[in-house]
Amino acid sequence: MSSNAVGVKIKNVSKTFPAYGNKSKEIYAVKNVSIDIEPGQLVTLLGPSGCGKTTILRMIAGFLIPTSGEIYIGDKEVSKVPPNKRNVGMMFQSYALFPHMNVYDNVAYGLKLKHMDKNEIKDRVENILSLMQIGDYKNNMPNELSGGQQQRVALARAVVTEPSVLLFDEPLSNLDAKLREYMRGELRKIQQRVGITSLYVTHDQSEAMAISDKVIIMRHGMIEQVGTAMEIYSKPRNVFVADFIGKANFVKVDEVKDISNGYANIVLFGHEMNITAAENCKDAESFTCMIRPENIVITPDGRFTALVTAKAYFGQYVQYMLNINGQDIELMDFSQTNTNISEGDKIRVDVMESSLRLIASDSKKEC
Amino acid sequence: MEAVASVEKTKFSRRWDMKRKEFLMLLRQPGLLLAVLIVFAILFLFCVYPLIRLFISCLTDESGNINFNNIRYIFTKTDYFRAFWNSIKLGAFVGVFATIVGYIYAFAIKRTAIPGKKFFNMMAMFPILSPPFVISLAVILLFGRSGIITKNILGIEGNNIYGFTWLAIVQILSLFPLSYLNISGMLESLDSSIENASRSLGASRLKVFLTVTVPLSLPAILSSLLIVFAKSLCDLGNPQVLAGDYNVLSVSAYLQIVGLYNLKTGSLIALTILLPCMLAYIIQNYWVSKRSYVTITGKATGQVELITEPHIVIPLFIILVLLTAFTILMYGTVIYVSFVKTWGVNWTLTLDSYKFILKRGANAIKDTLFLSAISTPVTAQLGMLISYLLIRKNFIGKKLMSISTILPFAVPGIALGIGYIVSFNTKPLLLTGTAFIIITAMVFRTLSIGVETGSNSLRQVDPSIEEAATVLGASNVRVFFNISLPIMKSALFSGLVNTFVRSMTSISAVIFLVSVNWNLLTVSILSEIESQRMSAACAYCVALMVLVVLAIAVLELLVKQIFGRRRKIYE
Repeated sequence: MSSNAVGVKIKNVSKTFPAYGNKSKEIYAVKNVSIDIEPGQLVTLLGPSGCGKTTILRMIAGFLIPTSGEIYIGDKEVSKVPPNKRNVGMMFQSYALFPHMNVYDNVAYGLKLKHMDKNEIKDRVENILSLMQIGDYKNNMPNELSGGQQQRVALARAVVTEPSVLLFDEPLSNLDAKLREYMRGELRKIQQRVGITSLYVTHDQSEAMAISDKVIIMRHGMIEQVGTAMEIYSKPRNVFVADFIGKANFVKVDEVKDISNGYANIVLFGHEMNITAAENCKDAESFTCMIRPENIVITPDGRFTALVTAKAYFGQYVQYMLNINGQDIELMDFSQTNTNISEGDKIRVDVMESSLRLIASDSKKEC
Repeated sequence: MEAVASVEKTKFSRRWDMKRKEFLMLLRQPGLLLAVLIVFAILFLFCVYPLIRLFISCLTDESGNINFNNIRYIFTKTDYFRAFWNSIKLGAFVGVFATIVGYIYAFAIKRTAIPGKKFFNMMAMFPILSPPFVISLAVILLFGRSGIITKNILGIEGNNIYGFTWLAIVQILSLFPLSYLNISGMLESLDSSIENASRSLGASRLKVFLTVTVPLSLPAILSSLLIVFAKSLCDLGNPQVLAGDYNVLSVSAYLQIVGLYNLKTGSLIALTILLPCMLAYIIQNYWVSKRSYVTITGKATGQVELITEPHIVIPLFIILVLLTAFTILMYGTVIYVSFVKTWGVNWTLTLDSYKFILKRGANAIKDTLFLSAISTPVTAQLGMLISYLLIRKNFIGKKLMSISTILPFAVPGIALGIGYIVSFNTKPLLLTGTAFIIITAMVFRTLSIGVETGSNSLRQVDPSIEEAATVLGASNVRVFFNISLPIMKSALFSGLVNTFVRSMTSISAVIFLVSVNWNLLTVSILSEIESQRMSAACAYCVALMVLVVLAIAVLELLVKQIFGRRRKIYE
């Protein structure tokens, strides 16, 4: 099936809505966004609520018409095709199972609309139900199923018609944390097995990082960064991305000596070091250094002296709030070998230079 | 300056571009387009066109030339101004007092621990479910010239009850339930923790009531005032029976047409009722309802702490008991008199009146049942379709569609009825005298109830359920029939009861539409009252009420039978 998967392209798409209370004003929900999803890939749109990610998803589904720009599914421009003729599959936050139909009829609904032969419908439905491990429930009504089971029915219903693209609208947000983690693994497994091009919308960064080939970070209707989970985490393009993905300390640097080829030579807390630099540093005037809390280590031969101002135990790690040269810095200690440190102590710490990143600090003003 | 202008222009053209895209999208969905067009055609023909024709017919003479003789006539030859002020005075008085009574009723039931809430609630529904002039009929029987209380008990001869006082009392009694429903809905959704907050800051119960509860329920109070005002103005049944010399607009319009065969002046008077009524509805819909402080969060508002202090509960309880006792007395009188041989002369109990109405009114009973039974499902289906379009779809002219559905409900029934006569009395739309014209009048008069019920049930359905069907390839038509309709149906059935009852008890819209072939119970009741056959009128009333109750029971049973299992699933 994966051989006939098609790509999805969005070209310079914008969507405006009339401003609330002032209809003559237009507000951009999505501003000049281009996305390229390769056949069979799973791409995630990640961003805070109101960043326009769901708007993009709904434009691909056809529930919203873009104000300008083009949407391609395969080679076909679809922005004027009604949603029922686009051949997309969709998973909804609320599952959206038909409450008046049993599991079998829910899954068979899309196939019946295609006027498929009865026996073939039966084969396909039973196949997909057993693939999803819900074959035993085919005669149950949706309200008789658990959340995870409803989720599987919704997925079965979405993929059974072999759509050219599968859209996920925060499908796991109604599940409890444990089940969510399990189901995202299942979703990814089935998506890869079926080989279907997918776009996944979420505001949960760990979910995005766990399942996607590519993550797109959005803010204010625009794309902030595109890349693999690792690229985005280790090489954020600006302060927003660095702050949004994972935790980050932003530390003032004493001096920036040189920036070239994505690297910078800086002086931090009186020590010179070589770290990576974001592209936006080129013409910037002020800078900040990103330090992930897990990249600071407590070691007796550390270069910096830190005052411990607070300590909290989280099981997996111990969190220390440090003060180095007057700057507040958070440290996560996963090794937990230094059990005798307490508030008010002075300790020696060091950083892993390769994980530090110089970012232009005025980039927040970009929007 | 120029730059600003060009920005404005691009904004405008962008919006225009969106409209064009939406329109193109609509063209690609033939089912939806067809549905929108058909609904518009139907609404125009039966909701808008009759009112336009009514308007035109008032301002033209027989040959169709514009002429203001009618206007001159009603202002000079008739008692128009007095009737106008009488109507407004009555409406304002009834509006204020019905709202006060409704507020007391609602507050007692929703905020205090009075006993018998279910009973009181049911009693408040009675005037809504019963034929319009049962209360005026009972007032004549009890307090009239040969009234049971005035003449037989108090010994007063020739007590004159015709006029403002009793008309106002009757209207207050029959309209306060509207105000009660409106306000109790508001009190229910008013988060009582706000009241608790005020109380914990040291306010007394009275202070809380005056500074928190009343100001917060002001929108409901205003909207109740306006609705009752409009209803009082449009009411034909009660003034027709009770107004006497106190001339009001609806009765003058009716008399111009029925008494003087003067359709045009009658229409013009009806049209002048229409204006204040519409104004009240517009203010209510577009101004008051936007001022609501109630936020619907979907969360259950916390447990309401009911007032238990006896000095509050006991007086409220007494008021409610008196009010319901009066209502019971009214209905009891009507039932009692229906068994009396000749009211005022011979008090022996017989079944004569029932024999009489079965002989003379058998057709009216059959027709009423038949016409209501046809119009109700039509209203329901049309209401569901329109609410689906309004809530779920985007198309040009949506507001117009929504207003058109409210129009026949907001205008006085008498204006709608006259509009139907002037519109549908020539070929190709020669409908006068047929069952069809009565059915359409019933359907479109109650359509807004169907749309309202449909919209409410649709709002509770997650739209993504329909979207799920759409992305699977279902067209709009299929989504409506496969998904929306089956899900809405069970909830909508309760709306059916309401529509059915309204159709059965309607009078003002259909009074001009009945004919030799098709007669209605309400019209028969009125004519029996006018010819002073009180026992027969009462028997008709009782028959109508019994039919209504039976119909509700049957519908309930049907709902349980058909949707009982399913309804559980949705909840």
